[in-house]
Amino acid sequence: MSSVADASLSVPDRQRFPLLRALLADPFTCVAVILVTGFLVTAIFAPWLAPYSPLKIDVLHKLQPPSVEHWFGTDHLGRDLLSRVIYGARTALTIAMVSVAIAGAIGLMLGLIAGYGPRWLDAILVLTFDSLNSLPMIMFALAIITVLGAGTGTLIIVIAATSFPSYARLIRAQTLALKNSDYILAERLIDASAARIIFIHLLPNVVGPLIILLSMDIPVVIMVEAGLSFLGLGVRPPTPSWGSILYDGYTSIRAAPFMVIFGGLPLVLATLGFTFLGEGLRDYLDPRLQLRRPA
Amino acid sequence: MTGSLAASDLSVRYETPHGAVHALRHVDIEAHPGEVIGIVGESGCGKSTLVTALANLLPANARIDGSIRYNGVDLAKLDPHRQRLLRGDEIALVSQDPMTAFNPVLTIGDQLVDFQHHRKDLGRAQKRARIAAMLGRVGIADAERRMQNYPHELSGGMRQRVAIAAALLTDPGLLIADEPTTALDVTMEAQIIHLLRELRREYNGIIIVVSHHLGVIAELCDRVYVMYAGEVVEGGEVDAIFHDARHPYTQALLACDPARFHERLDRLPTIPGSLPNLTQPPSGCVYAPRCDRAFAPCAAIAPPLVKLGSAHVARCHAVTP
Amino acid sequence: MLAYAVKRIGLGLLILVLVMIAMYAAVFLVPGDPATVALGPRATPELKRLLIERMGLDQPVWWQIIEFFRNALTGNLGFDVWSNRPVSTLVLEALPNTLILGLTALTVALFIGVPLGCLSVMRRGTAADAVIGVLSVGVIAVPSFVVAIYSLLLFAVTLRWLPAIGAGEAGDFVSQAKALIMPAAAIALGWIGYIARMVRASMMEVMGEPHIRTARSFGLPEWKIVSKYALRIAIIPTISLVAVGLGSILSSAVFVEAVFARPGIGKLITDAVNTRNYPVVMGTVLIMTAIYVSITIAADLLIARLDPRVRDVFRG
Repeated sequence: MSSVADASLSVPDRQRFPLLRALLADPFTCVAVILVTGFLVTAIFAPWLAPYSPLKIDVLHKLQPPSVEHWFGTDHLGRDLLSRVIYGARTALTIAMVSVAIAGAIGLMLGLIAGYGPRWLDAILVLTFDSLNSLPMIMFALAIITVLGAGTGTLIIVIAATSFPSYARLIRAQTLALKNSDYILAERLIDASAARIIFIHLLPNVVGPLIILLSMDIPVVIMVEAGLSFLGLGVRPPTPSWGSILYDGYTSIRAAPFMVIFGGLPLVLATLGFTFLGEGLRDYLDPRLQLRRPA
Repeated sequence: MTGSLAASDLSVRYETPHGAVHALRHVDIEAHPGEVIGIVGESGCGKSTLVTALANLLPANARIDGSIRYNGVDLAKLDPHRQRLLRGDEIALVSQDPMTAFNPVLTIGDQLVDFQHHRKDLGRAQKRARIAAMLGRVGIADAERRMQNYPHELSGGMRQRVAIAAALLTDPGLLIADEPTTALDVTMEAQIIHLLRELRREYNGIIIVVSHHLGVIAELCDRVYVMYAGEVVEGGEVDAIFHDARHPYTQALLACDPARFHERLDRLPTIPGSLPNLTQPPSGCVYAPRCDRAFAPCAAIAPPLVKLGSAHVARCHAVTP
Repeated sequence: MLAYAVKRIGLGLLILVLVMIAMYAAVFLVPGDPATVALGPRATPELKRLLIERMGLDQPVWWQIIEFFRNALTGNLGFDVWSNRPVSTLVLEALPNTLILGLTALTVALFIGVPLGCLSVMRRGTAADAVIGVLSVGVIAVPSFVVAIYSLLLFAVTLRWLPAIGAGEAGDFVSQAKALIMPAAAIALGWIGYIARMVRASMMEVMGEPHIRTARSFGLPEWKIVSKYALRIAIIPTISLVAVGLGSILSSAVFVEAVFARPGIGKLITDAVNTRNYPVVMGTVLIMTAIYVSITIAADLLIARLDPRVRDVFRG
């Protein structure tokens, strides 16, 4: 017993962290890793990094250009732009992770059911997925927002609802492929319950590609959140969001052009970072995976 | 227009990130109008490279040494533009796999019209008429309808016939058939061989048939070159090679040919060993490691090409005229 | 070919119907009724009753759905809650602007992206290829409304070369064209990169296939091999992706119209959403979905026309 345990513990002497090494080898991916790490750090440590509160209004000092006290300047309500941008990262990350997680969970469940369940159920679910996919995403999003009203909660629901069909289809395809493999058939022979098969055997094996897809969708969600917030249909003010900061900058574009520059910069850097990182990951894992569409 | 072909001391190597692969080394081939020349050898012997070199289709990382003289012109030294002009005009290639040889989204007629592009003197209607006639000639019935078909609507045997027709339409002085029967089943193979034998009677250029199938070579060719690991190890008239092979490799090859056995065997004979690594060609005889008659000089000194009689040559230390 | 077309269109119609039913049903998720929500704090019982009657909300659900479809088929998509103008008129007024924007962007993207992709393939491995590659990835990353804002800042506010807002004067082609440049460019930029990459990847695959070698062995010139023999096959996945991405172009149009204050579907629907104007939202979604589904079907049919192998898929 102990010899077996010992054998499995001794890792052969080869390079550790092959993925990290591969990513750091290419200069673009290296920069991407830095940008993404920067984004994550900013989002997580926002309260410690931001010099002021993002909500502190000081109308006397509104629309001031960058200075020593306010590195990014102030917005139309006198709020420190740098702090708002830092907290905006936090908003973006939170919404992205929550909605992607929810969409992933729904997609996972529905995909497993569609793939493993009865044919009629599969047919209905596939028709549902195709119908949802055939809607232009923005139309669907706006329809839901009309019904539910704008806000962070609605935003999460909208993003989850528009994302889950593609995850569900991926999981379904994976499930269908695995359904007839030997070890699943073996389980069915010993009369294992459907639930047991789905949760213990299928789920761990289909989850892999899904995780990849989910992480590649995070930048997309960040952009969607920024876009909807820009239109005033995303997070409610005064919550800082990169989209609403851009909108404020847009309305003050003649008076304070720096707002647009500094407000938009983190969004551009974050999305560039995630995109090149996604490229690097994809090249490492499977060069045939698709690049996502422009926004 | 027809002329003679002579490849002299032809060497081709591919530059790869892992080093240079010496696919062809010091190959000498000659062919005259009216002859059918066979090139035989196992996979990896360099026949594909030879075919590609003759057709001027070598990739960008290939380096040629030596010469390929056709009709007096050295093909290896020509600039790409002139090489392109020769292809489909003087030199025609019947590709290896009929299943993938044609563009799937264009009709047969459309492609064959395009392939006659060198004939600026012909109009589209005239080109189509030639195609219909040639398709009939290679044994395809209902040619007009077939011209409207897409490749996937034709069987493998038919596609091979179309490929041969396409090559003949260019009226080439040099026709190269690369593994013409390999992708086909036995019945179709017989038909294609029959077709090629018929066609050669009226064709007065050079035909080169490349195959690893000894039977095909025996039926179609006048002279044969046997290749191994990038070199020509033996060459001569078909009868001489098949009945009086002198090089150990040729003898082993013939001995292993399943078609020769008249009684059942428990195991098919094989040649022990495997192909050498072409990134580091040996200084001695390339076949030496697998040869049952290798002796002292074989591993160290490259064997000379020994003349054994009219047109019969062999590259071996153990062979004498 | 015909059988395939019929099946494809049938499927599209079915999807359209399902989507609309789902949307209509979603309305009933709202706590309270749409009339109250639309009116907001000004909801007196009188106004509510009037609005409910006007919006047909007092009838049973199934009646409402059937009425909606019945009306839709005759072109009546309801009336704007506030101005009482027919929704179909509002949409038809706004649609041309958005279509012009979207189609211009798409055309520009194709005309620049496809040749760039082909150039990349013909010069593969060189510096040009690498530069195009990196830029392609880069422009895809930046959202179009951000591009729109930055170009607005640069070209309209700072340099004053192009107009900042609007769609130009009616009847004045030049001013309309000038107003179209930045919005179309903002949307097209990302697509140029995407299309160039797709075309390059697709072409690389096709150029390595045996039939290209056949064409070369007959001495066909490289430009003909690229344009007729390779591109025709390589373009197929690109068309499919572009058709699917038209929804994305639509989304971008919504944002870009907001940035440049252009009249169009984007403005129409965002205003409607902000004022909870259900009939307008529903009607717009129905029409846009119908257009989108039609475009997807058209793309599928075009692919079937270009690649005869696809047609046989439905036969089996």
